[in-house]
Amino acid sequence: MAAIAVERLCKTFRSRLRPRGGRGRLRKLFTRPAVHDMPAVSDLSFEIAAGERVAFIGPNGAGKSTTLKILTGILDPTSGHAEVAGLVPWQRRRQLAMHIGIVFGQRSQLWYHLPVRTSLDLIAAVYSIDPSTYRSRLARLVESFEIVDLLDRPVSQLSLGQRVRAEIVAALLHAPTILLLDEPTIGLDVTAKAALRDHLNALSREERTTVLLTSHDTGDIERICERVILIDHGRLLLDLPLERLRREFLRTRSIVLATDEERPSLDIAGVTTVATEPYRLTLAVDVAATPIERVVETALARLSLRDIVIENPPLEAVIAAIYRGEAPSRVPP
Amino acid sequence: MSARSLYPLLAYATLGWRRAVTNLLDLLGNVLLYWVILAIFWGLWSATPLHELGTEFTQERLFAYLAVTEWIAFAVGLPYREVEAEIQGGTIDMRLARPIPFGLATLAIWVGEAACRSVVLASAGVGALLYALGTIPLPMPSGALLLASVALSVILVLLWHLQIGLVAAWLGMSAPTFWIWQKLLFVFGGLIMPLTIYPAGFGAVAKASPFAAMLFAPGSLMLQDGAEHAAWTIGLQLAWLALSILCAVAVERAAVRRFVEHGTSR
Repeated sequence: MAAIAVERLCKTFRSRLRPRGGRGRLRKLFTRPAVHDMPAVSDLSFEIAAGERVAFIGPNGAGKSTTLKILTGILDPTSGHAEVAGLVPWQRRRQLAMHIGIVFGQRSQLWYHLPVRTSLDLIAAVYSIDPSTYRSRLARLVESFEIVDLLDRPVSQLSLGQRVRAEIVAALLHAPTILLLDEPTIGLDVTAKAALRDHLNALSREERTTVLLTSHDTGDIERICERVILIDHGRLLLDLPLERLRREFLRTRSIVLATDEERPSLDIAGVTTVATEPYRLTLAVDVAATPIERVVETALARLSLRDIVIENPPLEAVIAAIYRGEAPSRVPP
Repeated sequence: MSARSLYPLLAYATLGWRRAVTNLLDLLGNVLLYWVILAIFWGLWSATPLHELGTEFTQERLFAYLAVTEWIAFAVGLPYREVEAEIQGGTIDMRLARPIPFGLATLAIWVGEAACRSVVLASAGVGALLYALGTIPLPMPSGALLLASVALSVILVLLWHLQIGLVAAWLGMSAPTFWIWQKLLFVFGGLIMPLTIYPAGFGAVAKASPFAAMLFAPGSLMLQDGAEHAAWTIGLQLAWLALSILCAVAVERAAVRRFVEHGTSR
C-alpha cells in the first residue's frame, strides 16, 4: 500500500469580487456578487511508497502548500481522491494526525512564551506517548538537533534557526510514519541544515518514515530526496527519480580547462565557448551531440593542459530551466 | 468521554496554568486594577445613602457582590484575542492538525489559565474584603456553592470568548464583536450593581439574558442567603451552560468547515 496516494486531486478557491466605489457597493446590496475561481491544484496524481523521500517542488503559488494542507486534512479538495496512511485526510483528520508529522516552516506549533520543554510535554500527552518512550525519544531527538540547551528557554527567546529545530523535534516526537515538511530548513544555518538532512535520512532508513518535502533549497532536495515531483499552476510537470532527472535534464555539461596557452581556444562541433580568460577556457558541451570523452581527447591533443574540471550544472539551474519550459538541452551550465 | 481522552485535556489545562504563572506581570497588573476598582466602589457606596435608593442591600453586601463579579471578569481576561490572532496569522493550521478538537483544546488551556488567575485573584479579593469589612461575608448555605457558581461562570464566559474569537473566521477580526458583547455583559450581567436594583422592566430583560448567569448569578449568592436561591442560581447557570456548549460546538464546527473549504490563509 502506498503511504500517500493522490488521484486527480483538484482544489479551486472561490472568492467574491469586491465592488469598487460607492455605487458598486450599493449595487452589491441588491445583486449577487460576482465570484472568481482560482484553481490552486488541478488534476494532480501521484503515489509515494512507504519509506520514500520525495521533494515536492514548484515556483511560488504552484500549489505545493495547498496540496500539503489537503494531505494533512486541514483543507478539503474540490474533487479527486487522496489517501495518507490509508486514511482519507479530509474525512479522518484527527485519526490521521496520529500518523503524520507536520512542519510548516513559518507556522509554529510551540507556545511562544513558554519553555520548549512545556510544549513538548504537552505534545507527548496529546499523542498519548507513554512516559518512558517519550523520555528516550526526546533524548535522541534533543541530541540529534542539538537543542538540549534550549529546552528550558522560552520559545520567544530563540532565534529562527533554533525555533525551527525545536519545531522539527516537536513534529517527530510521536514517531510519525509520514512527514510532511513545508520549507523545513528555512532560516537554518549550515550546521543545522546538515543535522536535519542527516536525521531525515536516518529516519527514513531506520524507521521507513516517508518524507514529502517542499523546499526552495536545492541542497535539501539533493541531500534528502530520491525523487522529485515538480508542479506548476497546480499541475504535475514531472515526476522522476532524482538520478533520472539529472541524467535527462543535465545534457549540457561544463568543462573548465586550465592551460599553458595565454589565449586558449578550441573549436569542436556541439561545443560552445562560454568564457575565455588568460590561461583558462570554459566550454559548454551538449553531451547528446558530442561525447564528453571526445572533447577531452581533442583538448589534450590541441592544448597544453594543466587541469581539467568537468561540472554538472547545479540542480537549481535545471529546475529553473524546467520552470521556464526550456528543453533539457537548453539547461545552462 | 473516556478517562484516556481526558488526559490530553488535563495536559492542555496544565499548559494554561503554566502560561498564567509565566505571565506574572499581567496577573499582578490585574490584581492591582481589581483592588483599585474595589477601592473606588467601596468609597462610592460608603458615601451613598443606599436606603434612599430603595434597596435593602448594605454597603458590605454590595461590596462583596462587586468583589465576586470583578473576580470573574478579571479571572477570564481576554482570551478571544488568542483565537483571533491564530486565525489572522494562519497558525490555526497547526492546531487543526492535532488529534484533539481545536475548540476543546483551546477551552482546556483557557480553563487552566483562568483557574490560576482565579486563585490569585481570590486571594486578592479575600484580602480586600478583610481590609474593608474586617470579615469575609461567606454566602449561605456554603462557600463551596459560591466556588462552584464562579467556576460555572468562568466556563460560561470562556465558551463565549471561544465563539467570539472564531468570528474572525468570517469577519477577519473579532475585536468589534467582543467590544459589543463585553458592554452587554457588563450592563446585562450586572457587573457593578445587582440586577435587582435596575428598573423593573430592564432588570427582567437582563435576568432573562445569558449574561445574568455569568456575573449576576454568582454575585447574587453574596446578596441573598438560602438553599433555595443557591439551587436556583446553580440551576440557571447549568441551563445556560448547556445552551452555550451547544452554541459553541455549532460555531466551532461552522468555523472549521469554513477553514477546510476556504483555507486559513487570509
